[in-house]
Amino acid sequence: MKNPASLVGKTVLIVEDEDELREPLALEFESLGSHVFQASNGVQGYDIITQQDIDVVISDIRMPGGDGIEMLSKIKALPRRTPVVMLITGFSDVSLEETYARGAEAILAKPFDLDDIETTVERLLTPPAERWAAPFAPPERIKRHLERTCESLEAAAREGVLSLGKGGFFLGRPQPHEKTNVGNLVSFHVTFEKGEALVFEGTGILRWMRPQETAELQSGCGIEFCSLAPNTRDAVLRLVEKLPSPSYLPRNAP
Amino acid sequence: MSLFESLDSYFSQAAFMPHGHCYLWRPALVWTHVITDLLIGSAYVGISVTLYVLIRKIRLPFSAMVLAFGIFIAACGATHFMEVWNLWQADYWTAALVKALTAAASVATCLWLVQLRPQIFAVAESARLSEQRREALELINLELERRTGELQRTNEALAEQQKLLAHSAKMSALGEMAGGIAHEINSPLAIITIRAKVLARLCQRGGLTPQVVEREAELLAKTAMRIGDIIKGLRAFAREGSHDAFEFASVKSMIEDALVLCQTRFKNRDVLLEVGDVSDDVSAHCRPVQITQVILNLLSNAFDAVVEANGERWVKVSVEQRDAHIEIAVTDSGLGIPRDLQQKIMQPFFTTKEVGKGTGLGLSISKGIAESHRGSLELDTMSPHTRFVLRLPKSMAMEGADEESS
Repeated sequence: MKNPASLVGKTVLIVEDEDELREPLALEFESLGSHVFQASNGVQGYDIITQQDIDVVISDIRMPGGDGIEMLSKIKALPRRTPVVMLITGFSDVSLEETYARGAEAILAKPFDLDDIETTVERLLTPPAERWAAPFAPPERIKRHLERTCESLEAAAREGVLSLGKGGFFLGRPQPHEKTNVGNLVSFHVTFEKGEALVFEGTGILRWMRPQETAELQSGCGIEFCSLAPNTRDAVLRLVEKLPSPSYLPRNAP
Repeated sequence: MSLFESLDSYFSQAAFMPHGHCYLWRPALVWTHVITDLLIGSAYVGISVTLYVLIRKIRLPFSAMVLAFGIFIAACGATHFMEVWNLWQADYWTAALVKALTAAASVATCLWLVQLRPQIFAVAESARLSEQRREALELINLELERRTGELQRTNEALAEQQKLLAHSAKMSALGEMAGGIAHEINSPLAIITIRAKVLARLCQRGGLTPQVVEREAELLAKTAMRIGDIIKGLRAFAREGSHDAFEFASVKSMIEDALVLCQTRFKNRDVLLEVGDVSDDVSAHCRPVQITQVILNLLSNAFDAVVEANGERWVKVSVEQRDAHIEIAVTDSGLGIPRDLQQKIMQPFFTTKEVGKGTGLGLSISKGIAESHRGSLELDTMSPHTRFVLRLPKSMAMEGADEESS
């Protein structure tokens, strides 16, 4: 079992229209020591979040009487940063990349495992500074290594090479040998030559992949930070803090 | 001697000798002349008669000229017959008269022929031209035959393509549906997996009571049945259905099969879905899989049409019995289809959806299915809201039913 301490005393909001799913989830989080609020649609959920101190939100994406995806955008517009786990059903009309771009910190596809949702919630309840300080995964688990050299973060964003989000980054035009499956672990090393000689070094998980460019968007992928090298971590934390957009993984370079 | 007598003596034969004397009555010579003259004369007459018969039977150009020619040849023949006659009878005046007539006919024909030259040239030229035209026509015919063959092959290829397209439209419709179905199935699956896990944990913690076990077991079974119903609804897409046998199928159950595949989509996007009362015993003679597909197509179209709309968003399904027909109507809260699009919506590949969202084949395939049932699928232009009516005969004479549909 996991370390229940991280969930003790936390407030969890569960927004799900299926009572038969929401109730056992609530029961389980309560048994792990959390205080649980429940809502059966996005409108009710948003009402609760504006009235209560919520540490983490778990929400279905589409519900009668108020969408989860709209609630997500409204939550992300609030001054307090509340992590949101979105529950999807595999073939949602809202894509993974759009959900991350709207600010969702995690996406779980139904049916999911109880352990997975608990691990995810625990992870999101851990502040990024702590989360990203985790040791690197052993090399054999890392499927790809991504290497880039850019002039500056601004230039990289402008050229569509890379753009930073609250929890990871968009990497434009991945090379064929860099492509890997969603969910795989990758390592990256990005050097910015100008300005403060920034380096992104760490490991991440490939969260989505757009292999071909579309009418509006170039090809690219979304990578969520797992661990960041000590020399990188503080700089990334500072940059992420300053980002105006709530986007967790941007869809494209702006 | 009177003038008459003197003329008579002038013209009488008495003064002449028959022509045979010139041949000294040598039989070989005489008979050679007789036979050859008779043959020549007969041939001339034969030619004339043949010419006459020809112009009587077929329309030859310059038939008068040909007739003149015939007369001239016949006259020539007559001179040869006179030659034979003159061998024994010195009737040279008659022979001269015949020759004079022949000369007149020959000269007249000759002059006429000379004068006719330009017309003859013209006829010859037009004959040459018509020959050329005939050859050109033959070439055109050959080319036409070649093109007809090509067209036929193209048609066959097109028919094949159409079949493939219908299939791919089906696959695409299936793909569109897959999202909805995944949602319909994954939601109950999530309930089952989470509740089973929670049950296991309760067991570990020693918190299980018989009541809890009973409640959970029943709920799990009920949720699994929910998935079963959806899978049942998938029958409509498990096969193409156009070769299925006709049967009397309950209209209510066909509507339910379609609803189970899309109702969560409606619910989750707050589109009110209303199904009017349908009695269990209303049935239609149809291929139920295909009719379920048509109903699902109409429901999906209606959903797509209103889901992003502001204000009221609803879709209604109603069934009415009219004489020999059953009408299944799908109405949505939209305000109808613009007049200029009404004609186009049933056409293959016409779509107002954005690229990748619709194939433009749904309605045309559905219309084809309706027609293969001797029914119809029409937009009700009189309705204030967008309303499609699927009309099916309650029963249909089987012998006329199309075997092919989509």
